Amino acid sequence: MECPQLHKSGRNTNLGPGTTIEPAGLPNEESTLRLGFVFRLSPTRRPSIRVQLHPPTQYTTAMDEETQNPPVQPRRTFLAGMSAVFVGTVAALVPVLSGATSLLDPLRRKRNEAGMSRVTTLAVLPNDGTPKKFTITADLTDAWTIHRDAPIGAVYLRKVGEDVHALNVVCPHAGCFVGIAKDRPGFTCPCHKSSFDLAGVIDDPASPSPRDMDSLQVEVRNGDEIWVRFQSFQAGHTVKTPVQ
Amino acid sequence: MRALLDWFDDRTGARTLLRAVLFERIPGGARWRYVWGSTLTFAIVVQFVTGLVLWASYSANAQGAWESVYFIQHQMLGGWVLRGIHHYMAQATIILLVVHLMQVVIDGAYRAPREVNFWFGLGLLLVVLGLSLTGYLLPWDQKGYWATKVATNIAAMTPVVGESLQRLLIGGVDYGHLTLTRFFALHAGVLPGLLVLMIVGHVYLFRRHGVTTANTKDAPDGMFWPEQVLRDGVASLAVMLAVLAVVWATGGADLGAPADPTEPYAAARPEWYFLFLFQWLKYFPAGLEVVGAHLVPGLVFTVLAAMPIIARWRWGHRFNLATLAALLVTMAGLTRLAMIQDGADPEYAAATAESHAQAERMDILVTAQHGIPAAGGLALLRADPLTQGPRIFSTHCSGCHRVDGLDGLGGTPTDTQSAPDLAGFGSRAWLEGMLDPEQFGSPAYFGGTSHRRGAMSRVVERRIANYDDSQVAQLQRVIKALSAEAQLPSQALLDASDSREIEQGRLDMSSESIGCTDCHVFHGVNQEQRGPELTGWGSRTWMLGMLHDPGHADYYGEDNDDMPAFGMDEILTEAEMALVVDWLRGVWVREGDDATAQSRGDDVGGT
Repeated sequence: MECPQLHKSGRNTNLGPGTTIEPAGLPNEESTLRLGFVFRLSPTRRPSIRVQLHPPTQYTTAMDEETQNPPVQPRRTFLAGMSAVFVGTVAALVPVLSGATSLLDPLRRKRNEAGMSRVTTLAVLPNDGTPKKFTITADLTDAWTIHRDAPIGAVYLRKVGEDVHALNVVCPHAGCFVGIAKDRPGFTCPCHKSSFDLAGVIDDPASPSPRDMDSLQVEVRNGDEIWVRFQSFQAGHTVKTPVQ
Repeated sequence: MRALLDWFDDRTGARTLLRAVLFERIPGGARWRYVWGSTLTFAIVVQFVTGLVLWASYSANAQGAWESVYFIQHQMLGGWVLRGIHHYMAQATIILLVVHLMQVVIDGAYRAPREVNFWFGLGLLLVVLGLSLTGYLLPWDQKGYWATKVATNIAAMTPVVGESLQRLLIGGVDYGHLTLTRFFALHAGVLPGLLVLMIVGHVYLFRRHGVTTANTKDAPDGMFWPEQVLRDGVASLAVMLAVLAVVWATGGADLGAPADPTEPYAAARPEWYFLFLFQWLKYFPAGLEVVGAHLVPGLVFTVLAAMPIIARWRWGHRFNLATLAALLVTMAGLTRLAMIQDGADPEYAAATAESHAQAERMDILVTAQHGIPAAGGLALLRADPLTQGPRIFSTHCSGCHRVDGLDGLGGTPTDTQSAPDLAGFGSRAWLEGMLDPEQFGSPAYFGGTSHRRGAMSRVVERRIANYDDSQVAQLQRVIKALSAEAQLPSQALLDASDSREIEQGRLDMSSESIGCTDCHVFHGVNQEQRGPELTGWGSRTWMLGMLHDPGHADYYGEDNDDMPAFGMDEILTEAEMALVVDWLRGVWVREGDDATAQSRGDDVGGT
């Protein structure tokens, strides 16, 4: 037995060179998408691709029944339809909202309070103003783990006369680790070649960094102890905004 | 059996489905040029299979990611092949996608009615790029860490929502556990799910519209099974073999040293197929990053997506062809430029070499420990004198001291040397130089210090310079005896074989003709201490004491010149001092060592 609808296909528009011609006398069935209309296919026939969309069963499904006995009360159908959409949406909203809430949690997280960290002493810094890299140690909360006195970042320190200047090692361009230049006094980022002088000021107009290296607050306490307020700043902007 | 199959088919339609899949008609017959889509599907299936197995051994957290990948790479049976296939098949997927895209554009296969399918294909390209971007971070090694930092910072440059987007991506303000869990959820859940949806849609639409044929009007039609399947199979096998060959030749995917936010990684580069974007960003000066990172790529992608519509115009198809060609040539050019610039950059070469050396170092450390201790791979590296010693020395010691004339990391310090070169400190050679009247006052020893004019300089430059033969012989024994105090591992064999001379040398030290103990304390012999204690001179304990407080009466006392009290003034921690001392004394884990032997009380011999 064959389904009569097969022959009454709606649009048959696609007859370009790519059209699939159905083998063995089956009509060209390209663009109909009528789920559930076809049943009782002849097993000897080579099926066309759209057959997979139809439940190849000999049993009447709930869907078929509905189609065979179309509803007689349009208003009730409309109400039922609206209710179905409403009930379904409400039910689906619960997991979606719950999931979205938790996913958005990082937006309310704050960075660990940026306190002053004791880094080193004056005696260690070269008098000629050569920068040295130092690791900043502090307590670090990483989600469920607390690292006590862990290395959390690095700074360049250098003596400028009696003062000490501190620069965050992270490039304000895209966040790579800026290195001390080997060919001149200054810093170069190994990624996109941003170039800074010893004070962290951009020294090459072609430098892709939007701003100078980020300086940090330094205090010399008890005569020779160097303390730094270690902070990170949002990369990629001309304005230096702390990440909080 | 047949009845059973019939029953199954009746209830499920499986046979019908299978036939529908296999007996696709191909106008003009099977062709080699139709294999690209199938090989692409094959490549993605390989990624699903290898990815799932990798997943079964991977741990997505900051204290376990590198460690689990190390386990996969070095300890799991065939793990390096599995990871290698996943790594290189990802790259093959990108290549196949681009080839497929080129073919579609060249053939004009995006034209009506296949526009939507073309967009599915572009979507697939985005998802695959997303997969490779997220996958790059998962090993949590230096390379992935720093490259992904750049990628997420670029995401943060997106106007308005950028910073929130970055935070959501990395799970907070800092990279950590949540960055890995989120990237992994994207890499193994969200993106593969999207990929499956898009492939289903893509293949469904492909079957709906049929293959795009060209110049096949006269050729007889063919069937998907078996003619085309055979060709697809051969092509897939070829792709697989090519990937296997690369895995074999490269030894699998790289795994660098564990990610460390406090250590620079000057070789941070994205995967090669992103190099063009990397290079591209170099040309956008201050403030124009958004143009380079978002606007231009966004525009290019919009043009790509509009290609089916553009093609409706008379010259549209040619415009598309020209655009694609220009795009591919630009991308290839930028990639080549990035490679040339890196190739000519000695610092990049040094950074790459150092990163490989560190990966090998990790291997030696882990092997010596019979596994990765609970504190993790990074802790192991941070406790390694060979790795950390030079770094600490460079920062804290090289302002005055040198090692072989350099700063410990191979650089030349700008400050003038004002304290001894510590290469081989404690060894006979070092002592011979120090006690040589010609060398004592040189910069390599005490030339830059106040000791240049101290009591010891008078001893060396006046007394030793005039030693007679017997005193010179005594001095040689004294050198051996004093050097033996240092208990250097590198000298252990010599110290053992010269034990008799060393015994005599100890006596010589307090003899009238040499008289070390006139000023120094040596194993309890002395009346008044004026110079550093020589008992255990150059040993680990002695050096740690010197670092702790050189102004202590056992060391330089009031004669201390410029040496800071690293321990007493809390400039260095105990652990840091131990690292630099062990490094200077040549004590570190070497290949084939058993680092656990010592704690079990075994004799570890050399080290």
